[in-house]
Amino acid sequence: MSAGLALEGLRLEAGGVALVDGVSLALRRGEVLGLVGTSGGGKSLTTLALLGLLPRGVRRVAGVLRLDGAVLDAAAQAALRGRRIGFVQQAPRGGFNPLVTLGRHFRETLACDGLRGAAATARAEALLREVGFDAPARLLPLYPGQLSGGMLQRAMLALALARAPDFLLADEPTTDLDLIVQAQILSLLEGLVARRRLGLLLVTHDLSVVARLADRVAVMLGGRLVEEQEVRGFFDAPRHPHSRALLAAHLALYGEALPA
Amino acid sequence: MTPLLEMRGIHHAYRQGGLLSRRRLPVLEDAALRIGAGECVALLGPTGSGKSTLGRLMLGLEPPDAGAVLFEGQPLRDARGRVAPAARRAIQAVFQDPFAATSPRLSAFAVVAEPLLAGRLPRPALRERVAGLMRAVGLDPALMDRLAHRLSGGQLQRLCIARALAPAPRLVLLDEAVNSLDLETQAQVLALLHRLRRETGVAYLFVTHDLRLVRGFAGRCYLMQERRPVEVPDPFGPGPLPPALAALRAAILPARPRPG
Repeated sequence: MSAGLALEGLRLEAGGVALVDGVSLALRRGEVLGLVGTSGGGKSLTTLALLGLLPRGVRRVAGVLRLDGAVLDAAAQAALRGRRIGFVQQAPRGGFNPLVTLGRHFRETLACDGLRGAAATARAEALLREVGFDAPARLLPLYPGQLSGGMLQRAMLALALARAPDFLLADEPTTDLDLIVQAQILSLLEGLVARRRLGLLLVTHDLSVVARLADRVAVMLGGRLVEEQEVRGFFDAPRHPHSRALLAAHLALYGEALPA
Repeated sequence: MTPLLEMRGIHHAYRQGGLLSRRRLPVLEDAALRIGAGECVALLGPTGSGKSTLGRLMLGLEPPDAGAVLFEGQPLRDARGRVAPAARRAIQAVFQDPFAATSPRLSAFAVVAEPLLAGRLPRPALRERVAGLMRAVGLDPALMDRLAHRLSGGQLQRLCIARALAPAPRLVLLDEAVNSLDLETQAQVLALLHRLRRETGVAYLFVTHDLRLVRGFAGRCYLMQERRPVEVPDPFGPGPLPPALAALRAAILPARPRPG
């Protein structure tokens, strides 16, 4: 039995068409797994399946989810969501209610663990400080629209960490941010993984994000996992033609060619 | 020789705070920029540095508080603030998010045909013209009658490029036009834009925060610094760097994982 969060033989269908097939992944504590591939390859659906949050019309027809070896059914999965498994999306603006202050977002989440009043406020401030805000008390009365994209993404991260999850699933967490803010968020994630021994699933199409942060890489194409290996091996010798194409496009950005 | 587009002594500020606030935040101060016919000029800078404002002024979407925007040596906007129809056709734009830049109600055909409607072509000729434009950007004309929003992000961005090219422009503003695309699509779209420039002699202003995209694509490069664009001869070269460029270079993630 392996420790961590594991997905075995996932198959997702919509209207009889397989969208994801035969995908197995293992996420261990303190480790960053980069999930890469061209858009439409099934990365996001696989992430949502881990959370039990599949969109309407998409069905899981096969696959087992295990936490530290024990099989999770739908109810167990729902109980873990937010508590043991946190989630950060690509567009932070979509993850907040624009009509509600940041403070109330935190209060709602922390109330799940019975934290209220001053205790909840103190915890919210501590979380915001952990993601790099110097004056968190000033942030709580603000509405999401009053924060920049980078600030919101950090606040989203703080919310995802509010219930001290063991695993964090991050779907393109820095894709909409500029490079300077992206570098800050990635450093922050790196620190969190080390400090909290988080298991981080990092979904991205950007191999430089993988190079910066990941320990292992899994590549998806057309709903299937076509390659998985340790990150340095992947960059030195990608095995699958799709991996080689991705790496070639990535290295071309740096004016380099793929090693022969 | 008269440059295709010239901006001189531009000052521009936006109101800060509420509708009634008098506070104004200067975005551009004494900004100048020049684009020659058929040239590809990059404009680099972090979020909030005024890149997009410069683009808006170049499109004539708003008048600068002070300064001149000249297109082919003539003021872009006349005394009453109107942009001459010929100039309006000659300057087009492609933005970051193709879904925000197209109506969800329009078919792919209608998106590309819109700038051509003023030409009052008969329907079959119009369809032929749209098909030609779609082929030029590597899209199958068979997609023409699909709803634009049913296309993938990469396909829709190509459609936006086809729309921008429809009125045979002299200058296209590419405002973070490839940033939301995945790596492979990004490389394809950049190659496409490069080819179209060679074939049609169109000029680009390529606005981006990602220095990596500039390599091999743009001939000259401006960098936003202290609210004005400053020309940098070689953004990848050695020697002392302006602080804003040093920040952009430092934010580039490594091409490969750290050797461990």
